[in-house]
Amino acid sequence: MSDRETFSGTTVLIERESEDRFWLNMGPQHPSTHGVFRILLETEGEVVTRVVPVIGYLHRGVEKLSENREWMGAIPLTDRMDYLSAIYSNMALVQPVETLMGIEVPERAQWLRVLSMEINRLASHLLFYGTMGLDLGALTPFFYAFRQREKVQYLLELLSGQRITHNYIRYGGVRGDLTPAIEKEIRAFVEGFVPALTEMEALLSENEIFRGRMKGLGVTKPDFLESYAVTGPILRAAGVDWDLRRDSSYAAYDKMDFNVPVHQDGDCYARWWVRFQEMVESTRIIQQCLDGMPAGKFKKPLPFFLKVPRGEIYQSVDTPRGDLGVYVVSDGSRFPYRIHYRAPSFCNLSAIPSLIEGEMLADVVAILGSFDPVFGEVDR
Amino acid sequence: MNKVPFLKKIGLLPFLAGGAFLFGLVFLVWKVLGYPTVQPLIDGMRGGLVGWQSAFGGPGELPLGIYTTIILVLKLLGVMVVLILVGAYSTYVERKILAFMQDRLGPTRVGYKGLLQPIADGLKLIQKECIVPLGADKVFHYWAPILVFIPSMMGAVIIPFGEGLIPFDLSMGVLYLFAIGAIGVMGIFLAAHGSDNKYSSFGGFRAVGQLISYEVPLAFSMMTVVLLAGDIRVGGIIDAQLKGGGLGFPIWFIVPQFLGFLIFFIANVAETNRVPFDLPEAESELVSGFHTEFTGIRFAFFFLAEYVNIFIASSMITTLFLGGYGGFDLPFLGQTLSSVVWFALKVFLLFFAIVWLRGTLPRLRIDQLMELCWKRLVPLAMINFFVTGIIKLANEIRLNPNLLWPILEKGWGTALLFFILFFVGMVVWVRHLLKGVFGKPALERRA
Amino acid sequence: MSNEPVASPFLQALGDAPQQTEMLFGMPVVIMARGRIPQALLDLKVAGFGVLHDLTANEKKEGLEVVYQLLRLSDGARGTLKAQLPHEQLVMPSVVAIHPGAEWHEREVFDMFGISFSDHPDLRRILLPEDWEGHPLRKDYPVGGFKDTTPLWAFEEAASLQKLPERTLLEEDILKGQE
Repeated sequence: MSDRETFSGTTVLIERESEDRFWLNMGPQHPSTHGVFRILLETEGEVVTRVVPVIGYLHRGVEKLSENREWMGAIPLTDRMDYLSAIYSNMALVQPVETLMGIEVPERAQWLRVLSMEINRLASHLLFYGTMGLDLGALTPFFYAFRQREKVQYLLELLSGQRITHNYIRYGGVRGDLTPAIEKEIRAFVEGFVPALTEMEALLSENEIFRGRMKGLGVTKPDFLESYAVTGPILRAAGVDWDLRRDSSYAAYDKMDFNVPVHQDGDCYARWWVRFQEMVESTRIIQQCLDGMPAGKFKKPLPFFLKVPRGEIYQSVDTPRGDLGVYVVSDGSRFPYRIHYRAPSFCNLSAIPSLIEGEMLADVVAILGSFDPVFGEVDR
Repeated sequence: MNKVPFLKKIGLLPFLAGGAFLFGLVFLVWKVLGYPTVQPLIDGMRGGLVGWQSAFGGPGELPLGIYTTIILVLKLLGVMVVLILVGAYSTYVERKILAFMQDRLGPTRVGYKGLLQPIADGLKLIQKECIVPLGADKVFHYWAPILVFIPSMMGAVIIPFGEGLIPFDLSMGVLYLFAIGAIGVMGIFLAAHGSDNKYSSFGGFRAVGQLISYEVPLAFSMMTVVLLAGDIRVGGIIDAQLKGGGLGFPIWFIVPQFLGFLIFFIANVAETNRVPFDLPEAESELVSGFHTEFTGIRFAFFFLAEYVNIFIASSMITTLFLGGYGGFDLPFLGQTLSSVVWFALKVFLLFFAIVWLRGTLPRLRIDQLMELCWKRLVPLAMINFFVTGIIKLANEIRLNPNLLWPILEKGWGTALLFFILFFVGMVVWVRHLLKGVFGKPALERRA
Repeated sequence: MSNEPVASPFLQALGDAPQQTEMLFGMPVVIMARGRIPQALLDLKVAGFGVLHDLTANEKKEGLEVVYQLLRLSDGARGTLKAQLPHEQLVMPSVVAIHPGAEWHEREVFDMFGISFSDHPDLRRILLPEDWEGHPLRKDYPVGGFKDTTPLWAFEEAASLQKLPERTLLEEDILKGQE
């Protein structure tokens, strides 16, 4: 017997043979792998004894394609990475390029960036809230979340003209201005959203079965997360107070007053709780953006065919999934020489196998759901 | 290419073989067990006739044998039509209730307010191709949906739809449901095993474990009611609640047996694979569990069986705890019709509660499910049974004091033994529970 | 922005071993020999730079360079390590033993650039199919790819499905090539 076996194109090292175990192929077409994730699970009864994750089913070569486009053409590609929080990906690319070029972005544009990013965070976390419920078998949270998310999408459509691939943040500013009409819509939304959040929290947080399923499951220690370079809400749920919005204060985040929710448990419930509290904080930031929006231009006029000076830079922003780092190398031409995206979901996902091993089949779904990966970003 | 035999080619042989096997089994049971076993069945059918005669008039000119046969067939047809309609429209009602809870509209397109939606769904399912996976066991794959569907229909013949409208008031009564229900488990397992799908296998394993486990508290809480009523027939249990048979005064058994009602309700939700106990078909984990590989009419059988089972479960809860069809006579409707309305109302309330659970709760994990059954419900149901037995005995002695000495004289040894066992069991269980309650939350994960 | 090296916690942690140092936009960038990378990462981890934020590669004319981005969570200090590899010897020592999170990153670099990592526990392609040819992020790789790239196993599976009509199809059977 060879020590390697292949399952539909994936080679797996076979550690030991046993009659009691069999391999279960979960994905890439599966209701709760959040996209096109594929996990090979060696199971013994309901207990998972080994995990072999397989990714790459959504690989579109974003990095390669970026090298063959204008600098401007690289922004729409970022939308298609993390399609749930596209504006963050825009920001992650635009920020280092602006630093390379030494562009001073107008103040109003910085505020608009914060506003749009936080609205986008709501959309992303609302989806998490809904799918987390679905992963555990509860239907109603999904509909509650999507009713609100529909309104959020509408706001983003007003701002950017797009519902999913916003392409809102551009070099030198943003795509469109915040008109009084849009501002009125956003204010109306926030007013209705705060009571809706209370209702949504009551639906799950006091639910005995939900707590029983989520508490004490998939416990992560800060050391473990650090060694896997896991960031974002997952890290904050393990008690590490690390948020680039506050600690690196890009855009206009240094002018905002907000808390960074931190939970000490590091289990699935803590991750759910942190994301939920982030929605509350995002609502506060949105309110502050609307109240304190400075007047001025929303965009610094730049030529379409940008020439970025020779150099290289690595900068990151905090997305709903963690630190999205972008490594930009420019050779001074009209085309990027190399753009590398350090996708937060990619790093977060690499920590999952060791968490899943020894858990039950139903918990695989819960842990995966609580990590909230987006496979457009993992596979790029 | 080796030559495929004709029968195998058209795929008929496995079905013929399976059918012959099933009918042979029934024939064998009939022959071996003989008339005495079948006698109560026939008696029950005869007994049930009386109510129908009062509802639809006497035999008149027809000879009794032909009349009996006609009534029999009519009753069976009536039950089937009612069940299929109830099964189909349960889906509509469920979707509407869920939509109401989730702040949306539900089906609106087919017919007025979507009322024809179940029929459209049914037609769609019937005309779809029945896909059999390449590696599937054709016999099991063919017969499993039928094996799930038929018992659920069979179980419905003892439902008391209204006063005098019990199709067959069998003398084995509610026990019949358990006998029938056990076959459905087999069908589910065959479906899972025959699909050649690992997810289906998982669903099948879960289903068997779950359904067999939850039959224990179900049976215990049901037997408690039988103990109170002093009768195992469905009609007898309802009469005991409405006319005061067992206890000496009329009372719905939900009042003295509220704990039993809760256990029976929870166990029934688990038996019908509904949220939060829908592990065998857990969508997010097992895609669709045991019916992943079924399409078309075969899937429709599973679907219909599930809703018919919910209907039967709700009817049984109504019968055992909510006074069956009992209620005051409604104006303009007469006695029989108002009893039907009361029965439907109670069943609907229970159905609403079950849908409500679905709209609220996430799913349990398999170990939590088993823990809930074996560590919570089963001991509770046993204690309930025991205590109810003692109270019932005391009541009997109160009604007839002459019984006290004979009972004490003959049964003191047994009673002592049972008391000792009971208290030892209580101490063990309560200690376990306390450890669970004060050490960690009740549904906390293991170790 | 000055490109001169100034005192930073990152450089202090690395000590005074021979290396080439510069500051790019406030971020210390250190270029060192590839053999010293694991030891340097270990030293940095002791000094608190416990997060290997990113690991990637970049092709230059004279060769490829592997880029390590490091982060200290306690104060947000950052730093970059680089190692340059000549085209004819694309081997790096793996750092999975120090940073388990590097496993997927190294697989990705292997996948995209063809740099192999010695002592890596499971060095396979990660984003592309296992039988893919070429390394797409190399500059000599065309955007459209070299050829029609439907993976081979997809054809094999489809073919074997037609061959075995009657029985359970196990993946092992396909690979053993029964019938």
